Amino acid sequence: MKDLMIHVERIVRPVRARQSRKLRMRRELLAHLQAALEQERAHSADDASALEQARQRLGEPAELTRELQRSVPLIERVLLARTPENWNGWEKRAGKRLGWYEPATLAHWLVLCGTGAVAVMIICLFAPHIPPEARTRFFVDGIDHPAHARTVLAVVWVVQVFWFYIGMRFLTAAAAPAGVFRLPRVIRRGTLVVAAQGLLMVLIITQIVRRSPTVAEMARTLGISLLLLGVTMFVGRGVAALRRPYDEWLTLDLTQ
Amino acid sequence: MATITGDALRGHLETLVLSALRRGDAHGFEILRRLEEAGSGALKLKEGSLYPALYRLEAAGMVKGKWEDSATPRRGPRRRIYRLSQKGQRRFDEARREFQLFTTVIGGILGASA
Repeated sequence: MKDLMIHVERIVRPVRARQSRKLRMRRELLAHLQAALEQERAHSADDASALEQARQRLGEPAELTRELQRSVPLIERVLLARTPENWNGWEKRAGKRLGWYEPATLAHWLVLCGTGAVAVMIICLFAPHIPPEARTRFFVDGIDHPAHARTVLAVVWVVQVFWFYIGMRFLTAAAAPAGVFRLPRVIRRGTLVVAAQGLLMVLIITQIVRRSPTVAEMARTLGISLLLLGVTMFVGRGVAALRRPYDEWLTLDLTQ
Repeated sequence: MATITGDALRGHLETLVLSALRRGDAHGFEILRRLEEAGSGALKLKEGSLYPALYRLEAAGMVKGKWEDSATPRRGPRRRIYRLSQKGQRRFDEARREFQLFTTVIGGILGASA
């Protein structure tokens, strides 16, 4: 069974498609290979040659990968397009720590950069805790000192992107399969999430509202951060349960 | 016996799948068995090619797929059962007319009418 799964995974893993679509491909090809193997066993002298015959009936793996890729809708292919290797070092490293390699895609980058942009837009337009007079002051200052205003928004954007990225890493650690789950990693990433959220709050209050943050505000931010981490941890364990069918495929070692 | 292989079938595989499904709902392996049986051993498909064809047909609404009931008593992973939709049936009728016209015209030119 494992030999068949590895053969299927070699075909399906390079396909750029969402994981649920790939899981369906895997299951169908595995069911097919298994039926073909049973047929071949009836005609072959030994198991190894039956397995080889069953594999050959499926066709050349690289060609089948290309055909499967063409059956994926265009929008999905574009969003899941791989980004250059040197862009996704962080994702590759995260993947390796979890025991498998899942390259970063255009969708990852769009979400990551988009999240930072949303934070900047919220600050500029909707943040209810920034008094209107402070908003005005910030923009008036921005007109007088545009370089300063641009720098503040850029730093907010960077911190927000980092916060989201490390938050996702925290979720990934929380959702790791049982054998890979490590509490120290969860605690380390959780600490970074809290630090990033605190930094964001300090940055907004000191640079946009233009005053020092109060102890109550710091405590509230810490409380909200811990609450968010708790919810994320809970969601992560739920994700881990949902992801179990994928893990048996994604953890297969294709180098053997 | 001379065989018809992958390249010659290119462009016809989807119609062949629709044709196999006219005989009733089936999973991929059964569709293949029906095609081979109907081709009297002269059809040699790369079996994996069937699935991209099925995915395209499903995306176009010509077939509908659903996973086999988990209570079905058999070993191994669950299979996906495909059913021909009305749109698929219409497309099959259309493709058959086009193919008949093609064989009549080209066969006439080649002096090899069926």
